[in-house]
Amino acid sequence: MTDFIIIDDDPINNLICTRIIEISKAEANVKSYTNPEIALVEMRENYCKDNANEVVVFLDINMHELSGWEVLDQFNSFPEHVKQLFRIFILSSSVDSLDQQKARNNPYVMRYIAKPLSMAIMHQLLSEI
Amino acid sequence: MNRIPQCIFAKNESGQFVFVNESFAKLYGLSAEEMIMNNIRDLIPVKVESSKFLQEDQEVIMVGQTIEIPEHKVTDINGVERVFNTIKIPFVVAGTNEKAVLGIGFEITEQIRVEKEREKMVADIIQRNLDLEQFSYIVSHNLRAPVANILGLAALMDLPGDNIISIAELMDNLTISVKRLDGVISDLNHILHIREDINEHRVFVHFSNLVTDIKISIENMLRLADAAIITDFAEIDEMISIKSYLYSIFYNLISNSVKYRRPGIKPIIEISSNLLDGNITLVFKDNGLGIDLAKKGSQVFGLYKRFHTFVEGKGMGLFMVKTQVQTLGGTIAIESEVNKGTMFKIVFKISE
Repeated sequence: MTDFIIIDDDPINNLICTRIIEISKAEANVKSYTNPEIALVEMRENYCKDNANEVVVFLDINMHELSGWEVLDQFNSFPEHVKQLFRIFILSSSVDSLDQQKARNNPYVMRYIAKPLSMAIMHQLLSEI
Repeated sequence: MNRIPQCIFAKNESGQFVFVNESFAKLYGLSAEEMIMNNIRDLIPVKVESSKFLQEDQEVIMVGQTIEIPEHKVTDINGVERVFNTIKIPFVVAGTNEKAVLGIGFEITEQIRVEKEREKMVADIIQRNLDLEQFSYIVSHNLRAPVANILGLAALMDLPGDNIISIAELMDNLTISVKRLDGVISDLNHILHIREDINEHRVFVHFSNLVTDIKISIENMLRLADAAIITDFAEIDEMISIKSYLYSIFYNLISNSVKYRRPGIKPIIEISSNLLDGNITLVFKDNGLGIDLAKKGSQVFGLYKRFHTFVEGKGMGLFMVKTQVQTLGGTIAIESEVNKGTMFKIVFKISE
């Protein structure tokens, strides 16, 4: 089983992602957060326990409370065995090459995806993880 | 000696010219004969300059060493400021034991002017480049966001299967996205127009009048928050500027202080001005929520950046304030402490 977490302060994006994930993987457990601080707290809580599922995260960059980069900084302090459960994808509307570069350079980021999340990208992603 | 274009002069210790060439004498609309054996104090109309020149002479004579003054400013007979690269050399007048100074001035007025012009052009180009960068940043970040949503929603609509998304939900979200797109476009338009407004007529703007106008326009907001505005413009209450800019700067800073007040504490906004070394400084100080500058400092003046999300706001205010301050040739700095308050300091050079 793989869980899905969407962290983005834009609820419309979260709606689109949730629907796309649900269609691609009917039984998936999807959670979305518009507040990255709450997401971090719950991620730490829910995935510290034994037998926790692997989890795919779609993380936005430009958010008010914390940027995606700041979320990744805090994620860095998670226990090692928890970190290993996570597959983090940056999902941003930005088409700025600097952001893409920064994503590539971050050890926790699997890939940079330009919004919107589509069925095609989702299928490809499911075959990778 | 007279044909040399450089200005050559020699003065004794008391400031009497013992020698000048024609190039030098012409600066003051005199002939060499009219200057020789006369004192510089009687010949040069600008007293500040003559006493400065004499001070330099004293230094050369006392220390006994040559000095170079790279940008020596001299006001000529027509009141025009000219710039020389001047060398002053100590020597002893032949036949006497009198200590004196020999000066050679090479005019660089034109070079300096060209240099200044080039500096200004480079600064302009850098500013325009920054604007373009800002523009492309907005396009790739803020304009893209609602477009991506519209694309995503349209794709959902296309997917087979019922109940993926209801028509009502789709329409609602499409409308929100299109409105956001429209909002970003009008913001962009607004931002790009700032630079054009620079040609707007500059007039005397009174700080106290600005505050009075703003108090009237946000009377409700001030009353509901029970906010107090304390002003001190005793030192200086006016400057020549673009009124709409100054209004916007005052308006944004005052309304921010009210919006981001600390709950349960009467908002007090202090605005003062002072005049120092040809600079007008405006200080806006509040006792509000403050911003964690260690964490968010680099984003304070950024577009669409917000630090408190409990009240409505677009993240445009401080961005506009900074752009307008810069367009007026000023600088803005912030000091802030969380739960203490925020202070903005704006410095304008008084234009010549």
